[in-house]
Amino acid sequence: MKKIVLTSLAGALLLTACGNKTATTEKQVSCKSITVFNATEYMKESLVEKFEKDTGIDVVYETFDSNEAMYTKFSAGVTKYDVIIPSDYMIQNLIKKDALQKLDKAQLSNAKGFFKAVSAPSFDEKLEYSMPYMWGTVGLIYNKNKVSQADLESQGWGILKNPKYKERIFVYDSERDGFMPALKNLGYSLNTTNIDEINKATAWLLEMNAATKPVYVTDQIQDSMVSGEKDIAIGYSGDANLIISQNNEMAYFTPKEGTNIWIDAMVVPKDAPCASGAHKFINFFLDPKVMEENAEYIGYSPSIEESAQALAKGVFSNIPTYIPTTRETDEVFVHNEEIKKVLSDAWLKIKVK
Amino acid sequence: MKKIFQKSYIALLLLFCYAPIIYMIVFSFNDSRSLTKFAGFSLRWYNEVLNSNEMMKAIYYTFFIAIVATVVATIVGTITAIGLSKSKKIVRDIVLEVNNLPMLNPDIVTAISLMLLFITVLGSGSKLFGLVTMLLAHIMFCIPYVILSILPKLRQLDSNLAEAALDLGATPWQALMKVIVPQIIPGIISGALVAFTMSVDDFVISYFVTGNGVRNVSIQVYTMSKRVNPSINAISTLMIAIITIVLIIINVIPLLKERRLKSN
Amino acid sequence: MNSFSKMAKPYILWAAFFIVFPMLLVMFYAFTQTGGDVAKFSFTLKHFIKFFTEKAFLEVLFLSFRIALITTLLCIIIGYPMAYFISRQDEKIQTLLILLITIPMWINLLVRTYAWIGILQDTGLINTFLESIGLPKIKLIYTDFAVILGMVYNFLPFMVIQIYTSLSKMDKSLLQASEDLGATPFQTFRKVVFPLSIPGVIAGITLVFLPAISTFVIPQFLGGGQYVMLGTLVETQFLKAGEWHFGSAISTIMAVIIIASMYITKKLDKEAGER
Repeated sequence: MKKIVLTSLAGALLLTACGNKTATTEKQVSCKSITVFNATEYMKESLVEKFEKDTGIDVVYETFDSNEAMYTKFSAGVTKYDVIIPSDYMIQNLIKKDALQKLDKAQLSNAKGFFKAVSAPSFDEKLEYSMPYMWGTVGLIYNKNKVSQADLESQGWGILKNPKYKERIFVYDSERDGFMPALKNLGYSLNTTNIDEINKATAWLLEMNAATKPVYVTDQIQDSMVSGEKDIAIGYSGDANLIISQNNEMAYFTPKEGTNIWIDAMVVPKDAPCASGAHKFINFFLDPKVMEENAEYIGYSPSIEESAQALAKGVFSNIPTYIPTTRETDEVFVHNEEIKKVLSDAWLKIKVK
Repeated sequence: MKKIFQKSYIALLLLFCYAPIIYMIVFSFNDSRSLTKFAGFSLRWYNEVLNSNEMMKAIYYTFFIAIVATVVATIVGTITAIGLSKSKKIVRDIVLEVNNLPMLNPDIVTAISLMLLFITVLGSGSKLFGLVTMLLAHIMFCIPYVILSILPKLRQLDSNLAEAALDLGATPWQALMKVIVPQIIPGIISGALVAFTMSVDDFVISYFVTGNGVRNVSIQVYTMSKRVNPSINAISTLMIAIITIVLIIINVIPLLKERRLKSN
Repeated sequence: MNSFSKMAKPYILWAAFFIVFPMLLVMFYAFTQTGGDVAKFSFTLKHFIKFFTEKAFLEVLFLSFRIALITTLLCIIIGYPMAYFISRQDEKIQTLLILLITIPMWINLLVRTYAWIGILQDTGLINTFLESIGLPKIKLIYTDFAVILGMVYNFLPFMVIQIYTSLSKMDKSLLQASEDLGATPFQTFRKVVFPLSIPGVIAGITLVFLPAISTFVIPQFLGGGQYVMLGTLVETQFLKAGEWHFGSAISTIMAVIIIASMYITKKLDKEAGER
């Protein structure tokens, strides 16, 4: 018995350690089924059905609620996926771990017309591994009737420390999006690896905590801002679109110090059982018309300019910030294992204070 | 007077239990996306749920897994509990400690260790990931609750009864089914209730052990909470409706039978 | 008798495979670290040292126990009368009432918690009502009150079910005898009914306290992200920080503390049983 336990223990460890190194070699061209891994409600179901009808390829659709949950399942190797739609920093991590395959551009005739901001992202400058899907910025979602525009313009991220807005603020509960405003307000890069700068940002956040007593939330930000629960919230531009379209007292603002540009993109894992089907799938969703219909359903801003313009003039014409604007000082988040741990511990200490 | 007090206490607590459920049902008819701000009556979320294959499948998987897991866990749990009550004290104590582990471990720990276990045994990318792994996992975390619910009832049981039955020439099977089981029925029922509840509500463990596109309602609901919309209320209301109909059928059929017997 | 004790054997094997083995894996992670990117594990105690030397972690530990204890106590105080009153109803209604209490639990925790947000928040049901009748708003959400309310709401049915089970089908002749001997109803309850229901109360405590300590959805949504409990902490370590080793260490610490406290409860239980 003991032996069995020990052997299997060793086996399990070996497996987790090796991860997905046992990649399968190129498979047959005419595969009939692909597995897609995406955030939920992040793709219009009827479009997936249309793709199935058009190509005869079956789509098995799986969902995740965070990039990290996705990575845990993916790297453990529970299922072999053909298409995954993660965010920028996670794609960078996957490329580094050698888990993605280079895309065959010949099979992606629709891979054109991207916004400039997403056409050469830092994590994949030549778009060799990824095809941009939706994108946006992180900013402040605020109540136009309660928050002064002058405060926003003059204080930028510093408004989070303004006692005038005490107990009126939601802060996004993740070390990544939580540290960003502090680092940017202090004039540092959001990807800093300088411990001294991180400590200063920690102090900044502790001051914020004392001055405005914000509530830390994640998923309920959307719903609570729609009902006007607080006046200011750190949030994604995509969520801002959804909030503004339901409550026109709300608006979206990106402070002058710069912010985080995020890009969600479609990738194909190295061990994808059906790479040809994956390419067809990606190409289908890059079609400007499909992209437009898909983005209309999701509410986020699509990566293809033509589709975004059509929506900005059409259904989303009531949202002035529908198409994200960028500044020189904006940055894409970079994955760094060590810094992540430091920030994660610091974030906990800030919150429980 | 006393009866009135008791009845109103029960009624008050039931109101407390159902307040959020009523709230949820009301918002399943909300015209906007919000879960907390009502914008007018609409059936659009029901339309969305009923037209979505994914969601209807999720409801099916939820009930299928919960029912099978509850039945298996209740049978195994009952047998084990009876066995344990007659085992040596040291064996019983150790097994009960071990039994508590899945209840006290954070779900994520159980989830990840089960995921690793299944990968070790089944291999990565196995087609068994999905229904089979989810069923095994649910049975695994349901059994402890059943055992826990039955043991107190076994302790109330007069241990001489079974022995008397055996002395009187009953086979162990007869002693079990005719003497022990009838006495602990309330414990078995409450164990099954708790097991069913745990299975229906579980998200984290299900999420990490599933594969090949198999999803239950919990997975659907949790991953959906990112982009809030009342279809999670609609899907829950549908579940409540299904449960209510089943309960009515179960409760009404015996009544009808009774009536027919009487009229005969 | 031996033929009965054999009945536990299959489950013992099953538990070894599905419970003990994964737990060993967790403990293995708790006491090791990965050296660089090579798959080499080395023994270390640093995760435990990290946990016990950082004030923030100890605060989380303390908070979790405090909330779980309060929840358990309130569940007993509110749930015991409920279970007792149910057991005094008509036999047919009893089952129905127990079912009625359980059914809300079949709705996903997240959906129920969102409903509580809607009821409790500043722009929610209660405060809108107060405002409409001219009363000032009260701060409900993101407070201790909201978290404990959510926890009690979620765990109360388990307590009621367990206590009810031990009260139901109680030997009626015992109650009769007690009354015949001239005991007041309260004496009968204290001397006969209550002692008999103790195993149910203990089972209820186990069912409430153990899961309560590791919940994370309720505190996170009703208390806000600053309301970090052990469950949240472990979840964060596994999923967000990618620190499986530290996460495993925290859950090992939790398991040890809880097993120890269970042992104490069991001793108390035994004493009560002997009385």
